[in-house]
Amino acid sequence: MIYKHNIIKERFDIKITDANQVFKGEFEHDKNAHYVTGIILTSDKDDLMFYRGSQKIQINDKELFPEDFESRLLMAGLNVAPDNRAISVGNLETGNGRIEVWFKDTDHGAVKFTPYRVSIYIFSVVELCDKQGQGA
Amino acid sequence: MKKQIVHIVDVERNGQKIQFQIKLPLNAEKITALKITAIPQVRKDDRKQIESLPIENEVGWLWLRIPEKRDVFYSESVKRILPIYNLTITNHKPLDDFDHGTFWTQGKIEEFFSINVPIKTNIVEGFYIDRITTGNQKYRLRIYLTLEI
Repeated sequence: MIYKHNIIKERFDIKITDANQVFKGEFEHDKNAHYVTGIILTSDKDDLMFYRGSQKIQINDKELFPEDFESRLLMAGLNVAPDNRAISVGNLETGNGRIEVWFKDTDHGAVKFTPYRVSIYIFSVVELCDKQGQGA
Repeated sequence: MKKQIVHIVDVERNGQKIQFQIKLPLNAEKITALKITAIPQVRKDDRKQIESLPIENEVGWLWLRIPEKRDVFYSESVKRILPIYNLTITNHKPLDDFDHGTFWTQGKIEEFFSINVPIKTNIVEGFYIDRITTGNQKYRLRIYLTLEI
């Protein structure tokens, strides 16, 4: 059985303070987190991240999302059922526990730049139970 | 092993026809999924009209082909998608809004289109026609390809 309390939920923030710049964030997983199962991006200004944001994400030195991957593809609104919001990434080993994010802000006519925050939520598990192992 | 690549096409003016090539890694064996996105700027005076339309609005037409070995394997009428945060707000409007063309939406995470295209060369050719007729908008067409390596 998969129980919610077995899932480690971590949040990492990057502050976007300048327009048209790349901001790098380096984070570390909880030491008990061994397999990453899901990821989701949110922001305090959804519209800015939706139109302007793209990012590259690496976990354990492996590229999870390539450069220029739009942030809006990793966002989910309130209209998505809470249980379906995170993007499933399979069961990715955390390995050295390093998470690297390169967030790129690019001009877009629809929204003017103001500083905003990008939050990366990462869901991971300590160990795979049978059901998760089969799904991998 | 899977690898994702993103190819960006800059569209500079209305009605532009663009031919381009996407270079794939040499060890790519097949394309397993793809997704096309474009979010052109919506001019303020157009916005009200566009947002009253149901969800989508055409941005352009795209064809992807593999030269010599296989012709067009994918084509799409690329649509403008209203932002998620707007849909969220729509979702909290009262139910009687149904009559005005808005929807009680059950949203879902954006998904890639599954496809099975074995690759013999490392080049994919693309052809894009912009279909926005009003205003002069620069925007980026992004083509996401998931490859099996």
